[in-house]
Amino acid sequence: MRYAYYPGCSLQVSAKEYDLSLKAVCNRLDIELVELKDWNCCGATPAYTVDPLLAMSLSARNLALAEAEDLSVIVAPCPACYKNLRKAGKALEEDPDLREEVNDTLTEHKLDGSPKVKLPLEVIASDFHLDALEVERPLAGLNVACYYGCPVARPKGSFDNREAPQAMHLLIEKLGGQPVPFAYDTKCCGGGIVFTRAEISLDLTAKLLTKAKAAGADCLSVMCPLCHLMLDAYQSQAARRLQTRFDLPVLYFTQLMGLALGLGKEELGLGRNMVSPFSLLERMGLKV
Amino acid sequence: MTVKLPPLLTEERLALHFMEQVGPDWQKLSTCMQCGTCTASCPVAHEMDYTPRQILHLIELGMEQEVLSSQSMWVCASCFHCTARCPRGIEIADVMAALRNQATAQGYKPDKAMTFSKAFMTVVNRYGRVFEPELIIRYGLGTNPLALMGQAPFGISMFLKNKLTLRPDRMEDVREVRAIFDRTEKGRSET
Repeated sequence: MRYAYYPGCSLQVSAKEYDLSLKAVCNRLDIELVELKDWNCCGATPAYTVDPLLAMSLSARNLALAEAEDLSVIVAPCPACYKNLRKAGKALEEDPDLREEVNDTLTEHKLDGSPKVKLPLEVIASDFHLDALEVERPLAGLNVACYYGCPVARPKGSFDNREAPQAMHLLIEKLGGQPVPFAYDTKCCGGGIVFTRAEISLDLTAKLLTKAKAAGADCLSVMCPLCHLMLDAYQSQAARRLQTRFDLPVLYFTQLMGLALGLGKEELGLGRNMVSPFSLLERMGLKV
Repeated sequence: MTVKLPPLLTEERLALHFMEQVGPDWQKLSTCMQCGTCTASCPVAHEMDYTPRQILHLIELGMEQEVLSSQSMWVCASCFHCTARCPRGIEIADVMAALRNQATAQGYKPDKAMTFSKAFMTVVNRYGRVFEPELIIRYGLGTNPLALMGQAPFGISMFLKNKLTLRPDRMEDVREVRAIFDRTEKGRSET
C-alpha cells in the first residue's frame, strides 16, 4: 500500500513523536508513506476566518502535489489539515467555477482531480487488516481511555460511527490492552481556542482528564496533535484549574501500537511526551 | 439570554442580504428548524452570549448587528460537532467562520481571535508553514504583551522537550504560497 503523506506543521516539531511513531508503525506494516514534496501549511482554522478562497487555495496546492506524484490517497494525521484538504477537494469537485478560481491562484500546480484524504487511524483500521498484526509485546493489563476527539466528527464521509466510534477500541484490544468505558471519547478538548480563550479550553481538557481517571484509565490514547497538546502538555495547567493532579500519560495510538509491535522508545519518540509514560510502562512490565 | 425579536420583518430583512454573507450555502440556513441539536452538541455554548441555535435564528431574522457584535463566533472552538449532527445539513461551524470574517470586514470591535488568525496567516505567508514561537509573540504583542511573560515557563518546558525550536521549519521555496496570498488578497480588494 502506497500513500501520499502530508505531515502538516504540528508533526514537524511539537508533535514529532506522532510523526516518528506513525512512520515506524507503517514501516513495520509495509504501508509506504511518500511525503509530499515541499508541502505548505493548510492554514488550519485561521485561513477560513481570514479568507475562504485563501484557505481553499492553500489546500488545493497540497492536493495538486499528490496528484503530480500520481498518488490517489493522502494520509493527513492532523484533523485540521484533514478537514481542510477534504473540504477543498469536495468543494472544487462539485463547483467547476470555484475550481477555476482556485487554480488561478496557483502559479505552478493545478488541480484536476480530487485525491482522497484519510486519517492514519482510518488507514490502519480500514485498509490494513488488523488480523495480520503481529503483536510481540501485548499491552496486557493496560487500561486505556480511547479518545477520538472531534476528528471523527469531521463531516462528510467519516470512516467510523461518528456517535460511537470503535476503530481505536478494536485496535487497542487487538494489541492486548483493555479499553475502559469512557463516555467523553468524542467530546471537544478545547484545543482550537487555547490561545484565545485559555480558561474555557483548559476547563474542557480538565473535564476529559477527570472522566478518564474516573473510568480507571492508566493512560489515554489519542489521534490528534492538538488533543495531545491539550491533554499532555497542558495537563498540569488543566489540573491547576481543579487544584488536582492527574499524572495520566497520553500516548498517540501509534505509540501504543509501536510498543505492542516491539519497537523501541527512540523510534516511537516516547521520551518526548511531557507526562512521562516510562514509570507506567515499567509497572506494566512493558520494557522498552 | 432572551432575545427581543423585531416586531415586523422589514423589506430589508427579507432581502436576505445578511444571510448571503454567511457563506455559499446560505440558502440552507432558512431550512433551520430550531431543533437545537447544534447547541446541545456545542462544548462551549454555555460561554456564548447567543447559543448556536439562537445565532441561526437571529441570522434568519436579519438581525445583523446583534449577531456581528456577539461573542459567539469568537468563542466557537471549531470542533464541527454542530455541522456533523445538523439534521438539515447546515454547515454551522463554517457559518461561524464566515461571521468572524464579516464582523471584521464591517469594522466591529476586533476580537483577539482575529488577531490570532491574522498572526497565524502572516507566519504562514513568511515561511509557508507555522512557526509557533513567532506566532505566539506576534499574537502576544497584538493583544496583551504582559501575558507573554506568563507563558514563558510553559514555553521553556516545551523547548526543553524539543517541542518548540528557535528556527522556523520553512518551505524550500515559498514563492507559490506567497503568490496565493497575493492573488487571493487582490481578488478580495477588487470585489
